[in-house]
Order: sequence, then structure tokens, then C-alpha cells
Amino acid sequence: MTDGHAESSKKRDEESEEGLDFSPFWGIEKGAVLQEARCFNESQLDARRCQQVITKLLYLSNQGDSFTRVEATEVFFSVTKLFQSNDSNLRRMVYLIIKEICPSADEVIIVTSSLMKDMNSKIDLYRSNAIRVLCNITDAGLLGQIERYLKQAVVDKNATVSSAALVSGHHLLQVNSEIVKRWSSEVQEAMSSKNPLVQYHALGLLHRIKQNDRLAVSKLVTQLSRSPLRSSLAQCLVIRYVAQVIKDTKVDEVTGERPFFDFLESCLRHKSETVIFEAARVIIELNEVTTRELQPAVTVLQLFLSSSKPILRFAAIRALNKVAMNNPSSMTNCNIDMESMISDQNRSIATLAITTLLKTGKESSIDRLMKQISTFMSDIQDEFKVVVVEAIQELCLKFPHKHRILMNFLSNVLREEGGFEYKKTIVDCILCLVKSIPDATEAGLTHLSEFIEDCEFTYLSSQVLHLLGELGPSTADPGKYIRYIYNRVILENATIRASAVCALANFGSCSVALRDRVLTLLQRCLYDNDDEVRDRAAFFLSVLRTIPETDSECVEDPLIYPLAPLEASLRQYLENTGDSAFDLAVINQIHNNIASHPDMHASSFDCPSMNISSTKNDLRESENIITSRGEFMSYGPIFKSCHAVDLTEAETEYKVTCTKHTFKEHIVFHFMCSNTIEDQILENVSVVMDAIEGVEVFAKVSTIPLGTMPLGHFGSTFVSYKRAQGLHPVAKMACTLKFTSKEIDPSSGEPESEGYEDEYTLEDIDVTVTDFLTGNPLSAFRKVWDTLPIENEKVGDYSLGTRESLGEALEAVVGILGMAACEGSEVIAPHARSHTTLLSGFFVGGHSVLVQLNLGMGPSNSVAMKLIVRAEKPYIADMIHTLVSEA
Amino acid sequence: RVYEARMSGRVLSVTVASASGHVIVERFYERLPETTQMLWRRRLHEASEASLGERGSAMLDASDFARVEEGCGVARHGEDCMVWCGVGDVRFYAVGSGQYDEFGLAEVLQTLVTAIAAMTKKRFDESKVFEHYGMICLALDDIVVDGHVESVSWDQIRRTAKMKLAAET
Repeated sequence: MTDGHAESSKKRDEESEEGLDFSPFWGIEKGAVLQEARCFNESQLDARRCQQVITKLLYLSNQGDSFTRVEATEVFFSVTKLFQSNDSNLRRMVYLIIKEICPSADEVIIVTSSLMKDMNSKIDLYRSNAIRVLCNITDAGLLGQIERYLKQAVVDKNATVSSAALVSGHHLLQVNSEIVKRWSSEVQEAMSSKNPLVQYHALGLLHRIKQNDRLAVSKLVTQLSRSPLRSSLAQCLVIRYVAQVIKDTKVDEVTGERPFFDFLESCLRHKSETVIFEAARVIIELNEVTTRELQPAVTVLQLFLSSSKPILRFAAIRALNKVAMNNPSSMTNCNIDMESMISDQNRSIATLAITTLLKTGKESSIDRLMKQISTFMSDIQDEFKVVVVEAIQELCLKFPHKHRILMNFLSNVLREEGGFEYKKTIVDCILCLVKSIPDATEAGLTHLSEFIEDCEFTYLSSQVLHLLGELGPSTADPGKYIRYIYNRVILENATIRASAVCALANFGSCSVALRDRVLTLLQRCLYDNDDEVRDRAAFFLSVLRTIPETDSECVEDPLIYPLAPLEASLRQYLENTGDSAFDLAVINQIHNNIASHPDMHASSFDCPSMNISSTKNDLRESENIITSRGEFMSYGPIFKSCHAVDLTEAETEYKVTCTKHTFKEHIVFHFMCSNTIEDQILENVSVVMDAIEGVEVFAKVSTIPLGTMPLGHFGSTFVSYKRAQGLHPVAKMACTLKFTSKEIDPSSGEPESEGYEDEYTLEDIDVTVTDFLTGNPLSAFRKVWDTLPIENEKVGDYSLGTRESLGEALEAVVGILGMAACEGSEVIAPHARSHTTLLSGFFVGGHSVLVQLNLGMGPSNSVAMKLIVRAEKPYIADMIHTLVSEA
Repeated sequence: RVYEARMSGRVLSVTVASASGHVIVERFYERLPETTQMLWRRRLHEASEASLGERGSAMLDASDFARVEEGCGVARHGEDCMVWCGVGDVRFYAVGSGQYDEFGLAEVLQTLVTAIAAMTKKRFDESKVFEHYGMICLALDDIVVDGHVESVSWDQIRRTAKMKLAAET
């Protein structure tokens, strides 16, 4: 059933003749069949021949041949004549072909009376089939006429008729739900039918009728959970409905018991495997399920793992895979059964078994597991391999000490055949491990270097070359990567060559020892036949030659300019025919003009007016503005930027937000101001800041005013402070907006020549220790913890009051500190009463600070916290404690 | 649709194909564009390729037609479930969601295969399937109606396809 096959079968061309010469439909033509269909109009009907023609029409339809409207109408009218025949087999085919043709609303009327007659026939099968056809082709208008018969059919003593009416009810709910809702009592009666399928259809329909009435559904479910149903399909439906009710109901706070859990547990002992599985599935998907609740479900799923039925094994391992995500410890008993499934013939089952094992496996079992996976990988398709590689990445981050064996595995699979998605997943995985596990960097880079020697994907080669350029120079032996990179310059396409040139340049700039060799190699790139490669080589040669011989710095640093002003100044340069060289200083000048002339900002760079809400884009925009200002260049790189805070109420005449940018020794307040009043212009706008608290810590350095505060756009004004080292960096600043207001003359539309000075009080700004702290996720927390001096360790106990859960308490503390959680310790097991979270961060100036946070919950949900802080400097550890105690 | 996906789901398609990949009978119970139908055929082919080959795990002898539920292959595409099996040189595929999961679909295939076995006197080859083409269409029409499984009793299906209920024979 390949695509090709599917297409060929649909067109039934010459290809399909192959091997189908025994087919009675060989060489069948739609035109000829439509001609044959004229036999339906004969006065003496040949029932057998008519059935054969209908079969041919069905075959054509199954093969994708569509009938035009005219053809369909013609066939439909001919078919209606067949109601004259009393041959029951022909009548059955007629029902089917009418549904297949699906006549239009105005045509339906032709068969309505015939079908209604059959609906009341004494022959049960006429009744059931007529109901199905009529409900299938009828519209809401006609439904009213047949409703009475349908209601009777629902409680018909013949199960086929009753089932047909109930299943049709599902369809009619979409056509006219009001009519079906009136069948409630009949459907309820059908639920007590002895026939299991009638019971199943009735339950499904009854639930759909009552689905919007929570109380009614709850009553129905309560009633059904007390008396088991005959049909296992219906029992599965009840379990599903119970799951929905449990979701909407709260756990009993006094007893801690979950409603209907006993019912679910009893279903685990049902004789039908389908019901058992359904109950187990619902239990493992319960919100905040406890280990005790999980245990019986996991036990039955474990039994299913060794079933001879693949569907049962598949369903069980899929369910256990879900359990492994949140409760890996609750299914350690299943590991042996799952290991035997790695060799399952069904690759979906084997892949699920492996990914589950990777989640539940212990550090000690990794070596054995990897051996098993290695043999399995060659047998499966790329889509399964991707899942396995992703699971291995998670495992490696969980057990960083095992990076060697896992990295080797990734390197081996990288060498094997595979498509782009698969290779990209492996490369992404190695990149992630290289960045997260410092010890794995060199091994990862070596594997990737070998990979690009024989990589058919340009995108991946470029990505790896960029990473080599970024991380290679800081390794113990950077020289060994040069050969791999320069090989790409010789052997690859232009895109990869250009990436290789950049990577080489980075080695030259960062490593004094390699610079001469890199310069020689770059010199050779000047003869490349691609413009981009030559340009890059020439640029980097000139940059590298300007770096003093003993200095090492990253070549990319001087190139960080805001892109929009860079593009504008380059365009401007190209338009002017002057002979002078392009001056990078122009970019800053242009950017300053943009900041002070907002209209130019909007028109020149097509930048839409900014939304005042603080978003990541706004933050990046603010950072770009700061880095492009010459005034702040001497402050060094930005250490941390905080999201913008509104300093004005909504719907006021001015809108001002403030973004704090922390530098090594300075703090810059970036105010974005906008005017909303059309008939005035505000000029010489600045924010006056007065320190209410923290006068001794922060000393004002400069205020940069805004020329004109724009209407509907934002303009920037800045205030910068220098921070006294070693002091607690906390302050409260009172802010006032100062400006000169000028009225606009309505007749001329021009502002008046003279204005008056005015001011507008803004909200205060707080500076906290958090502004000088940034998160630094670590994969090997313990290792770094041990390197920090124990004499700088500060311990404190705190009470966090009554909380709903430990998670809520943890979220609050992490929110205050702004540090990053390490090794997945931010995840708290459901209903846990104690937990330890590891946090890591940098204090401004690059000082490491680590925190161990032990939370415990008392009987009345009161949470106590023990905070252990270690930092490079003792005053930083004190600051963290002050920050928590004052919060 | 949201309700159906969440609570009961539906059978998306049932396909009967030859060993060479020729679609014999195919029913989609949702109006899907031809390209989406092609996509589903490809997914089914890719998922079942290994197990429907020679001595594949989902291949059953013609005489083993009653063991579909024990031998069928299974895979998932997102929340949709795919089940397939090969009996003799005929292949059966079904796709479903929600209530019609691995178990539901395997039951559908088992019912269809058993009903066909009864019609073809347990001979599962393409010529026999083509010979009973009309009956197979009727059987499938009785098993799945508008995406809902209406009946899973193969004997009843066999009889209703011939318009003879137990009480009437």
C-alpha cells in the first residue's frame, strides 16, 4: 500500500493489470458501468444482474472514481426503481449504493416514502437498514416526520433494529440535537437490554445527550459504577466517564480518598483485558496520582507485558512509558520484563520499551542497556531512532558521569546511515551535552570533527563548524581541530567553506600560538572562487592583523552592532559616492539620532510602535539600544537586564516604563516614554531620580535626556549610577518625569515657540539584590559546591507559613532569588512532604553562588525551609540570606 | 468532534488490500481530502512494512483467521491508533482514535476477517475476495457505521449481509 500503489490503484491504469487478471473488475470502465446501470430501468428486473452492476459501482467508488453530479443523479434515479423488486439481497445492495451516492436534499424525497415503508416493514433487516439509510441522507426538516418511528425503533425487541436506531442517533445529534435529546427515556430503557451491543450504543448515546449536565452525568456514572454492565465495551465507556467525573471532582480533604477509586480498582479484576487496561490507563493518568494508587495498575500492566497479544504488550508498555515520566520509581519491578521486550518483533513496542528503560534505568544498568540498544538500532527506522536518541540525551543529563559511554554510543550511531532528521537529532544531542557537561566538551568536539569529515548535510556541517570555532579555542589542544576545519575549506561547498573561515578566524584571535598558522591558512582562502568566502577571509585577515601579538580576544566582539542602524548606515554609505572608507562610528551616531527622533525611527526602519507590555522582544530591543549607545560602552558587557516595569497607571496622558540593566560596576535605568495627548509636544524630557534608600551605595553618573517625547511611539532617556563595591546593593528611587510642554496651534498644526516646564510624578523604582544575580544551570552541582570555600557557607532556617504544596513554596523562593535550578531538582514528587532543590547563579562580577534549599511540610501544611548558601565571597552569601528574610 | 475525540473517538478508516498493495476495499469515515488519505496509506504502509513481509509477525496463515487479535501489528501516530494484519495474501488495516484504540480496532479486524472467512470458505486469496466483493462491502457496512462500531458479531454480520437473521432462517 505504498503511495505509488495507492495512486495506481486509484487510477486503475495499465499497471494495475499486473497480477489482477483474475479480478472480475479487470478492465472496468466507468462509462461502460453507467451504461450497464440502465438495466435498473427495465420493466422485468434481473435481480442478479442488478446486484452485479451495483457491485461494480461500489468497486469504482472504492477505487477513487468519483461520479459527476449528473452521473450520480442518473444512477440514483435508476436505483430508486429497484425498490419495485422484492429480492431481499438486491434490496440490501440498494441501501448501500444509496448511502454511497449520497443524493442531494431535493433528490432525497424520491426515496423517502419507500424507505419509510421499509422502516415499518415486518422484516427486521428491512427496518434496520432503512433506518440507517434514512438517517444518513435525511436533513433536519424530514427528521421531524420520522422521529416517531425512530423512537419506537430504539426500544425495538430486535437488537439489530435497536442498534441501528441508536447508532443513527449519534449521527443525528449533529443534524438536530434537540430531537435526539427527546429520546432520553427510550435510550434509558435500551440500556437495560440483554444484548451487550445495544447496551453499549445506548450508554454512548445517553451520555452524549446528558454531557452538558454535570450532575446528570455524575448520577449516571454513580449508578453504573454500582452494577457492572454485560458489555465490556460499555464497561470501558463507563470507566472513561468516571475518569471525566474524577477530574471535575475534588479529592476528599478529610480522608484523602479519591472518588470512584474503588470502582476503578475493582475494574482491574474484570474478566475482560480491555476493561482491565482501560481502568489501569485511567488510574495512571489521574492528577497527582500517588505511588499507592499506582501500584495495582502498574502490577496489571506488568502482567500484560508478557502477553502473547501484541496489542496488549503495546498498550501496556505505552501506558508504563507515561508512568515513567513522572513516577519512574514506582515501576522498577517492570525493568526485567521491559528488557526482554527490546527484542520484540514489533518495533514500536521495542522502541517504547527502550525509551521507558532509559527513563527508569539506574546508573549501574546503563552499560548493559547501551549494549542491548546498540544491536537494536540497526533494525529500526529513523523515526524510532530519533525517539531513542532523545531519550539518551535525557539520560545523559540525568547521569552526567556516564557521558563517556553515552557519547561513544552517539558517535557510533552518527557514523551509520541515516536521514537528515535523525542526524540532526544526534548532532543536537551532542551539542546539548557538550554545553551542559563540561567534561564531555573535548570528546564531543572530537566526535563532531570526525563527523563533518564525511557529512552530506551542509546545514549540520555549518552548525558543527560554528561550535568548533566557539568552543575549540578554549580546549586543552586547540591545534588538533585546525586540520578538520581547514579540510572543509579545501573539500566542501561554498556555504561550508565560509563557515570554516569564520571558525578558523576564531582560533586565530583567541589563541596567540595559533595565530600565525591561521593567518597563513586564511591567506590561502583569499584565492577561493566564492565571493563570500573571499570576503570573510579578507575581513578576518585584516581584523586579526590589528590585534596586538600578545593579546587574545574573540574576533566577533567588535562586530556586535545593532543590525538595523548598521544596515541603514551601509545603505547611506553606498548611496554617497564619496571615496572615504566606511566608518563604523557612524552607526552609533545614527542610532542616537533614532533614539532622539522617533519619527525617523518609525519611518527609516519600519519599526512598528512598541507595545508597553514587557516581553522578551522588548527586553532585547532595550539591550540593543543600550549596547549601541557610546555613553555606556565603557561600562563593559551587560550582566543582567530586568523586564520592563510600568511607572505610570494605564490610561494616563504619559506612558513610561523602566528597564534596569546591570553592568559590572554600574546600573543603567532605561526609560521608554510615550505621549498620548495629540495637541501638545513634550521636549527636553528626562527622569529625575532621587535615592530614598541606598544613597551610600549608588552614585549618579549621568542623565541622558530625550529631545522630543513622541506621540504614539516610544523614545528613550537614561540615568546611570555607579555602584559602591562590597555594599548591599539595595535602593529605592523616587522618579519624576521632567519636560517642557508646548501647545500645538490648531490652525497651523505647528507647536508654539515657547513652552512651559512641567513635571509628572512616576512610581518609585526598587533596586534589589536579584538585579545583580543571574541563573547559571549546572549539570554537576556537587562538583562545583565542593570547590567553593566551606568557610563562606551560611545556613539559615525560615518559616514560609502555610502553603498548599511544597511546589508553591519552592516557586515563591526561586522567584525571589532568580537563580537556576540544577539537575532537575525543581521537580517535586506529588504529595511530597520534604524536598531538596539545588540552585546556582552568578553574582555580578562573575562570582559563583550556590544554594541548597531544604523544604519540609508540617502537619498543618506549614512549610519550613533550611537555606544553605555557599559563595565565592562571604558577603554574597549574606546578601542571599538578607534577600530571603526581607522578602 | 471534540467530544468524540476525547470521549468515544471514531474509526477513521478500514482498508482491505492485496499483497501487492492494491487497495481492494477502502472506507474513510471522515471526509478527508485525497492527499490526506494518501498520507494515511503511506503511514500504514511504513508502520506495517516490516511485520507484513515474509514471516512477518503480523502475517497469519489463512487457517489462522481466528487469531487476528493475537497476531496483529500495532502502532500509533500521535493519538491515532493503527492496527493491521495479513491473512493469506490479503492485508487488513484499520485506523481509529479514542475508544477505538488497539483493542477496539483489533476487534473490528477480527470481525471482518472472520466474516470474510465464512463467506470465502476460509480461503484468503485475492480471487476469492474479489468473488465476494459485494458481500465484503456489505459486511464492512454492518460492522462500522459512520465511524462507530455497530456490530462485532461475525455470525450476525454474515447473516445480515445475506439478509437472513437467525430467527428468519
